[in-house]
Amino acid sequence: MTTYIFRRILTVIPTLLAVSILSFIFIRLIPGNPVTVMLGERARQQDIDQYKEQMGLNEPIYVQYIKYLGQIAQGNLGVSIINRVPVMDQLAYRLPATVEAIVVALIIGISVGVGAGVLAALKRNSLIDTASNVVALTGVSIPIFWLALIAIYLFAVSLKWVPPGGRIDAEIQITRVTGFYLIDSLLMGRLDYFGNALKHMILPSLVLSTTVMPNIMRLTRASMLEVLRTDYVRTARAKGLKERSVILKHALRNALLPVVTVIGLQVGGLLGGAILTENAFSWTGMGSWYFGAISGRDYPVIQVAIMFNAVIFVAMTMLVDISYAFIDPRIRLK
Amino acid sequence: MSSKKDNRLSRRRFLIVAGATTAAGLLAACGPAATVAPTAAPAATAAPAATAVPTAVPVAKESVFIVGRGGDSVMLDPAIVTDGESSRVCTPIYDTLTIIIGTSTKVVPWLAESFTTTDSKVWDFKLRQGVKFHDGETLNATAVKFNFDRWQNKDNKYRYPSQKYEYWDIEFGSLIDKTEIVDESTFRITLKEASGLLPVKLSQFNFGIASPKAIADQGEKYATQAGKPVGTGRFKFDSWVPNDKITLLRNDDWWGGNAKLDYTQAPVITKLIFRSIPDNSTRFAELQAGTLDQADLAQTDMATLKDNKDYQLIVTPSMGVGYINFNQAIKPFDKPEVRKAFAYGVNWDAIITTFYGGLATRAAGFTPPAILGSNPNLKPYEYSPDKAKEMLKAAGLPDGFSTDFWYIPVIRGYFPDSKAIAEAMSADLAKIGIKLTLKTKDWAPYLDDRKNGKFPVWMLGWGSDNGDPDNFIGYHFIYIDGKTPNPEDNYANPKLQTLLNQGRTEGDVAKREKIYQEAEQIVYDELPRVPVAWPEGATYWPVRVKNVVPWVFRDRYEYMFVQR
Repeated sequence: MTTYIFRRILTVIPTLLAVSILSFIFIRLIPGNPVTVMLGERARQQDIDQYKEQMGLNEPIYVQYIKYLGQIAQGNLGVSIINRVPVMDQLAYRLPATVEAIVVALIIGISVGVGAGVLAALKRNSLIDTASNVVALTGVSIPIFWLALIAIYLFAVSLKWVPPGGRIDAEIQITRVTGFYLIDSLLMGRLDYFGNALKHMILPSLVLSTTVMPNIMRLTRASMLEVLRTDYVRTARAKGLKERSVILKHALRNALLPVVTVIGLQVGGLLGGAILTENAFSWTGMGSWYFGAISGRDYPVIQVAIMFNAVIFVAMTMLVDISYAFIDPRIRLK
Repeated sequence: MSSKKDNRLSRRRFLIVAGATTAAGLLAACGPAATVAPTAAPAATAAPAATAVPTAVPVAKESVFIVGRGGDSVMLDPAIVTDGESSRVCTPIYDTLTIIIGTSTKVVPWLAESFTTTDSKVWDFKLRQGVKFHDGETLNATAVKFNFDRWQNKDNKYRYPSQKYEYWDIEFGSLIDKTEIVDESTFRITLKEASGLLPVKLSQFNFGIASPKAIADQGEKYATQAGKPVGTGRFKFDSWVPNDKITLLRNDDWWGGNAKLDYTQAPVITKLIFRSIPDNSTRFAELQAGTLDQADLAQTDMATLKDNKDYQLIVTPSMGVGYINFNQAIKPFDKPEVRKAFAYGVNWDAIITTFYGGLATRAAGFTPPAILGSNPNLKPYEYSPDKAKEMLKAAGLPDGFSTDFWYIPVIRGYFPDSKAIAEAMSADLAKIGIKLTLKTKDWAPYLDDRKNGKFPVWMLGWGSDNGDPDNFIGYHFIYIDGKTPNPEDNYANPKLQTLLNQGRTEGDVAKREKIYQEAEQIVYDELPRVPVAWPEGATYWPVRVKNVVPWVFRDRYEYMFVQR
């Protein structure tokens, strides 16, 4: 088993290396370089050249890449071209914001998705089933950025139920400990701050959860339907177990196995959704960071963004593979 | 002659100047083109008086003011930063020796009580007494000298390799010879050669005076996200949450609070917060939801506020120009007649009426009336397809010709709907035989290609940094290297060069005006560029914000308050 895991980890290295090389090249192929974006309309050629020289952008691309790898090996992710802040510092700052939003979105997505999926399966072809199907399809089809804007206008601008953006009211200063505002506000002993942070959390996480909810729901429904037809469920019922116990203990447990796998893979999708959602809600996380970096051609940040997503995807796939090996011994023997 | 290197980063300062109108431009680059409906005059035009004193300033109490902008500041040391988002937070923190007030372009003493010179070469600045920095240190000639030394000397102890003092190098690099402490309240600047530009240059936000103690104590961290900027201004720094918000607090000890100057009342806003909200639509939504008191808006969003009673329109005089430029190294644009065919052959007035929403006037010369040297004798070239055809005939092109035409990919006050304007131009020019193939590309490569002379004809614009003609017509037409025409347009005229260089050294305002007016006449006659529009500065403020005083070159928050 250990050998299998070790082997599996080794195969990841070439993948990540390939991603880093390709992204390194592609980023630099985007027309327009960071210097022009920074200097604007009347930048003189000699200044552009001087800046490029300073940033090492004039060197051959393979030299730039090798230098970059050397930096990474020392745990240095480089410095943002736009605001000269070390990328590592910004990462430490923004990661908690995104994790906070994604975790809440996942909780909403999983609970609503699984709940609705089970209900739909139990009441197959009923109104609930159709309704949840329609909602799921709509959720999948609506562009998330548009959904975010509509939600902002409806719930924040017109109804004023929730704030339109940001992680907390601008007047509030949170003492940073973990970077998670929901936790930090409690550490400060301020329930009102916690409530405020929670209020800011509602729209973004709801919108973000729509990227995973429909898939989870439809998969739960399908998987549940299949399990409900199996012999052991029939046996459970024949034994005279309560229906509640049959559904929750016997059917749902088994039905959730494929769902868990999918949830793992959906985290990648959530990261993608986060880019647009965070931008719409001025949420200072990874997503809005990437967005700004791409518009400003901030190479070191884009590079980290791509690598970060690649690592998450690869790690998730690996975890799923390894968990399969645990579940199914045949895989590990191959 | 001052620096040939010139104002390279002025574009960035333009963002500061044009503030709300254009700050959205960069962001709006990815948005759809604006369609500004043709309408009449703006709903409310604020008093243009330079030192308009707001009346009925209420008793100051806890009042928070929240500004929404597209991005975070880089750092808050005005001598180092070059971007608009940094400068707009620096201006409330620091005071400069001189300042340009309100909507005027006239420079007055500020942190200096007065300045005197006999030969435009040696300048004495008498400093205001009793001024304290936010850290309690006293402002005196020693403190001012400390700042100038740091800006000027490359081997100064308080400079670090990561820091570049670009504005100093550009504005004063070859202009200032030395600075001296005459006595504790008198600071002397000696120039290498006479120049009337010193006071106006010192008014730029970059030359805000910082506390020597803070700079010495904080070292390289000074005014970065990890440090703390200290000036003498009306607001003092409180905290910075990167990419989220910067909070400033009212400086109750501000020197102007007691001085009975009519434009220097103590601020009524006690807390000033700058929030970074990258997305235009979100920022607009926050303004509407009431969580922002001021927001940089995209041109498209501004159009929707036109008839909204909850917003007031504040207009400032034009400090910019939108123009059509030609590369004279590409035939047939070397012929003035061909360029004039563009001026006569397009119904520019109709374009202004249709696309600028009443917030621009048709440009006659290059420089707008509010800036020194604008020539009142110039009249816009009239719309006359016949004259345009004559021009083409005179150029030996009676049947016209075809060319690529490049339009900007972003929304700017000087070309609010670039594609539609290009289409209207194209339709008019087709009637006289000039066939345009409309093209555009991403903003950064657009600027690159234009600068490298790859475009035959294109549109672009400019906004003044400091209201001085050297920064306007001078900036655009002086040869960068001092010898050969600039590669972007290859326009050569030695007479114009002489005039524009004279304008830099002449200290007498009346003489300077004559010099620049003559330069304007040359540009009008030879028409290296067709000036199209003089866009006004236009911003929408919620009506709940009271006492908005229009300033051209910086935002002023001290008078305002919010009625919640």
